[in-house]
Amino acid sequence: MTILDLPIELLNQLIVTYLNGLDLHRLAKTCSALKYILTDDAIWHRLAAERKGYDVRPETMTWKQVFYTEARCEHLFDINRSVLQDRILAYLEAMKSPKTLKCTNSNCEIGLPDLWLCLSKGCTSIGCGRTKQKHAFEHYTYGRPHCLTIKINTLEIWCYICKEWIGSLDAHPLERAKASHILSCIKSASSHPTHPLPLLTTDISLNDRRQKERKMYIFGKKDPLCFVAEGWLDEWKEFLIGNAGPPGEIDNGGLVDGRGKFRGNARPNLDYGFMAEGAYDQLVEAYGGGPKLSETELTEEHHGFLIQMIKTWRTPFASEDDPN
Amino acid sequence: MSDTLVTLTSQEGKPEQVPRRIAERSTLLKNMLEDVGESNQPIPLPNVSHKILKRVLEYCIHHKDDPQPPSDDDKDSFDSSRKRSDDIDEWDQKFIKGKEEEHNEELFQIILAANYLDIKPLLDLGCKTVANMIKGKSPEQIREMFNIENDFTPEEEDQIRRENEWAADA
Repeated sequence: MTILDLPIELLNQLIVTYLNGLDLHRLAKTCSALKYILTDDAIWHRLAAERKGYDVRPETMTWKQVFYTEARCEHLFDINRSVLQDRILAYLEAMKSPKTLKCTNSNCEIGLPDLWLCLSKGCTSIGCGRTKQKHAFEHYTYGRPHCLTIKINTLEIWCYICKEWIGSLDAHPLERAKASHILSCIKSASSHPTHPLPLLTTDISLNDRRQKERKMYIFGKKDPLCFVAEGWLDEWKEFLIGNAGPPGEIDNGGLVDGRGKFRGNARPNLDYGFMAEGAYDQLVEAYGGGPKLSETELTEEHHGFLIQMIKTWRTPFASEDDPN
Repeated sequence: MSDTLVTLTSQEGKPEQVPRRIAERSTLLKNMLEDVGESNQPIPLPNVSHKILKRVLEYCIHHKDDPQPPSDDDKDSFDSSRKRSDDIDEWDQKFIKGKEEEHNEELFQIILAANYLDIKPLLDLGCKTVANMIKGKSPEQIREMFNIENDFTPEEEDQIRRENEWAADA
């Protein structure tokens, strides 16, 4: 009697439950029967789901590839079916009365749109965002490891441990598939005919655009800069964090003088903010507006202070400059 | 009532008497005994040889006071402890090892019997033992250990040899 005499369910159970990737690989090289068993993607499906909690498969991958993937945010895969069901119920409960929904911190009156639902099973926390009173972040700080939270308004997920939006456009396909699975489950539960609940998240369809534009928000010391009216930037930020729809045209009209030049007396961080020129060009394409105010147009005569400020900002600290 | 004796008949037709409490370590027997109620009728076990039955009962006697393992339905979620195979206790290790010369033969028969009789901890013990035997071994060593015939064609063999251990999966 050999291992091959075991019934196939038993053999699968043994493989799925106890063996690791390298052992499986070697087992497949022993004979054609075992090779055949280990070629079947169904067994890799079980391995991925039972061993690693990877219960979704991106269209571009086989289950075997999914199994061998190391997800960046492991916490995301703690959300199994039963956690998800529990969280959907919590979401539906919260959305019964969206107008009166408030941050669960007893002293906080903040309501939608900037509310986050904790994604840990059985948790009742709904916290306000970091631009408000940071109660969602506080809940994580005191309630570790409740690290995953979902923006009620856009169904986007944030991980406090990874310090990142999870499942964004540039994320690993596996992570993205899992996040969109969670999103679509909540979405379909909210629009179920027996639960006539209002789905406030009307601009979920803009999530991809948010994720793309969030990358533009970041700029480095080497990027040539552009200047954008602070009012527009504020609106854009609200869009990026999912509190509002997209802003209108970029309006730098208040930043120029009668000759159409950048006003020398405009105040940085009050009247205008900074942005990489490349990002600005892309945003003008998307939103329109202007005029473009770029670093190259600054003159010593009108913008001496600003030129000095940028120069200081670009100057590396001694420790950065000198590796010794 | 649990002290009543139950008669089990092995493949060879040989009867074996055990206290009902011991027999009930097997979920199959437990369910049967509950269905039948009080009865002196021997229970036939056509899939289990007398030798293996004695071994399985030896296990059940040693573990007679263990709590019943939770059923699969109770398991809430994927549980990473399931994949561990290095947590076998000393008695179990000695028990499953059995006699050196017929080790594998008996091991697989115990697994089959545990599967048939539905004795989850014994089935797990058997599977963990097989997994531990496979771990870290080369394909040749696995073949030798389990008496597996290498039935690849020379072409397949060649292809397998050229495959880097991780290349296929990276």
